Amino acid sequence: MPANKKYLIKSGWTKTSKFLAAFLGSLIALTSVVIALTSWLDPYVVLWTASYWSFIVWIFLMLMVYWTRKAWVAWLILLGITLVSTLFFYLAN
Amino acid sequence: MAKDNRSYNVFFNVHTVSGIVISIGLFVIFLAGAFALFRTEIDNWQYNEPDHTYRTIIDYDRILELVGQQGYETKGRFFAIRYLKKGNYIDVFSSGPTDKSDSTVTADKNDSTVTADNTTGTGNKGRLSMRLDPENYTQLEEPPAGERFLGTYIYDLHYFRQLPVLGRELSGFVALFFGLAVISGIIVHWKKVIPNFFTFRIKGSIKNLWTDAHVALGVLGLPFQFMYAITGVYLGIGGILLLPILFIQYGGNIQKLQDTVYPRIAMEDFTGPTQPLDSISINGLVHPDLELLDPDQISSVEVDIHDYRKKQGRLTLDISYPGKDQFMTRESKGIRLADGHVYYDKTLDDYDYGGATRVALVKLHYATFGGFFMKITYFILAIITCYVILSGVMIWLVARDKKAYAHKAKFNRNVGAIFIGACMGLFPAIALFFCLVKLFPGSFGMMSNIFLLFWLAYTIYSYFIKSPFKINKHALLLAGVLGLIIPILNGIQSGLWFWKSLGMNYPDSFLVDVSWIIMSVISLWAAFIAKPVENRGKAKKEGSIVKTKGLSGSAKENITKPILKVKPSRS
Repeated sequence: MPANKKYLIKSGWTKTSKFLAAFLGSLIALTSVVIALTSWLDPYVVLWTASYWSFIVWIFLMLMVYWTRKAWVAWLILLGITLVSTLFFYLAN
Repeated sequence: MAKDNRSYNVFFNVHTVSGIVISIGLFVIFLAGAFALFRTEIDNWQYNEPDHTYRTIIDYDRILELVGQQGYETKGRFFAIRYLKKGNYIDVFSSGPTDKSDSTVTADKNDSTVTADNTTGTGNKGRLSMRLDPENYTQLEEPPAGERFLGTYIYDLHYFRQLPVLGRELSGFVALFFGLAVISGIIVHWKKVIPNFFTFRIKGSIKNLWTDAHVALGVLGLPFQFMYAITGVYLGIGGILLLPILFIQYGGNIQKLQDTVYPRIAMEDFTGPTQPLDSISINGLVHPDLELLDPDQISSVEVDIHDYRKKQGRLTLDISYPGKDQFMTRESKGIRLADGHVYYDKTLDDYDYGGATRVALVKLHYATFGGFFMKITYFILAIITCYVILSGVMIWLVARDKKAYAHKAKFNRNVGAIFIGACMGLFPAIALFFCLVKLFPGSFGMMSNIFLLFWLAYTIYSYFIKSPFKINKHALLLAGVLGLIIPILNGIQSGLWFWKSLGMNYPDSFLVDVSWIIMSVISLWAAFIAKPVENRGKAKKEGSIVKTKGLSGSAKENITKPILKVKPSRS
């Protein structure tokens, strides 16, 4: 019953890349979203909501990274989230 | 369906890998955490404390004076003074001067359940922790509490506090990957949630038995487990987002961030007339409120003092009313020390969002709502989660017990033996610890070492005997026998035999003794009826896997009273 290897990544580099994207990339994207939100909305509400909501989002971003076929696609999505958030952050400041 | 097939396998792999990597840590968290729910009860059992009457009003000025007498600098300090109904003591904790660092942020996050940290050094600005007798304000035990109290030690163990560094953070990351395993697990199982809801094949292969137990208890426990994943991440690494936000949004100004997140301790510029700072009386500020309270309604009074004897000094007063028929049972007040101005005042029905969020996350985690039976329910659910973790490891093992994995068979068997041994060994080790504190009261450091050594020894023993059946069975036997000795040792040591302790107003002593009797009987029963499974079905294992094994009553029932529905194997 272990997962069918045919569908899993074999390359060690891709595996590392995916893990980094899932763990760090997601955290960076997530943080940037929270920062963008704090600059538009009441930071008090945003930060307290983030104290539970952000970890759920982090988990789903991790799953998203593993769900995408290519590691670079996952990085691209996370980079996109970060860039859009950064844009909104600079629009507010 | 190729795409679906791929997603299924990918999520399945995420579930397997994240689950197996954190399995030992998570098992320790849930088993020690289950005992930690009854932390104060265990502490009271250990020191034979009766049920105390609660007075609500204590002399705060005297406590602070006492701290000063012990050579600590009180000026500008942050103090947390907790007086809980459970346990007849006052906990005094201080992380040092308020404006030195972000100590108040972390101290506040830990909430009422914070354990005092090691008093590092003798420097008068260092951390301090004391436990005082509310009758005469004498120091009860040498701090830290985690090295004197069994319940507190187990509570510390459940977030790896005994590790020299980053124990709490590690537990937070374990919780994060637990969340990942929970979500990916339900995704993998999603299509079968309804059709397989009542499936429980005990006649098929051993792998099906483990799978069905894992899935059934995992699905039933899902809300509980997901809640613990999220609240666990918050309590473990909740501040992980705050660091970048501090530098990007607040320019590194920690005070500004703190004022935003915790308005109840916000530092205001105060220029009004002040009375001499050294004559400020905490009693004068909080006693008028405390005198209005009915001690029977209150479970804790917590006073946090920020910047004591400074111009911007302020205190927060938190009062918990467990008797109220609602979830939010905490009143909170912020008072400026200089002039007694109340700048923050939240009653039970008018709570602010952040305070309510924090209280909700902490209450859900510590089960400090819904009374005693909620804690029992939590305990059983936590043990069920231990079962889910262990059965997950068993599935991992059994699924790799075939020809395709022959080249790794030895490695897999060793890993399995160590994992199951480290998990199951904790149970008799905790039982042994309970015995030891009654055998040698007073030498706690030595006993905690024996506890850890026993745990290690059991893991090594498991490595040598290999068979999961024997590892489980022997752990249950040991825990059962040691568990039955616990109430006897308690009776000999304190005279509080479990049949009369309740009548003598020692409910905690009664609770711990009776719980151990129940747990031991279940463990022994499970250990004796367990039979190795014969070679059958697809699982080709040389009769080495336990067929039924009970960690708790409810987990047991779920296995011994299944609804049979024999289906073809899923794989």
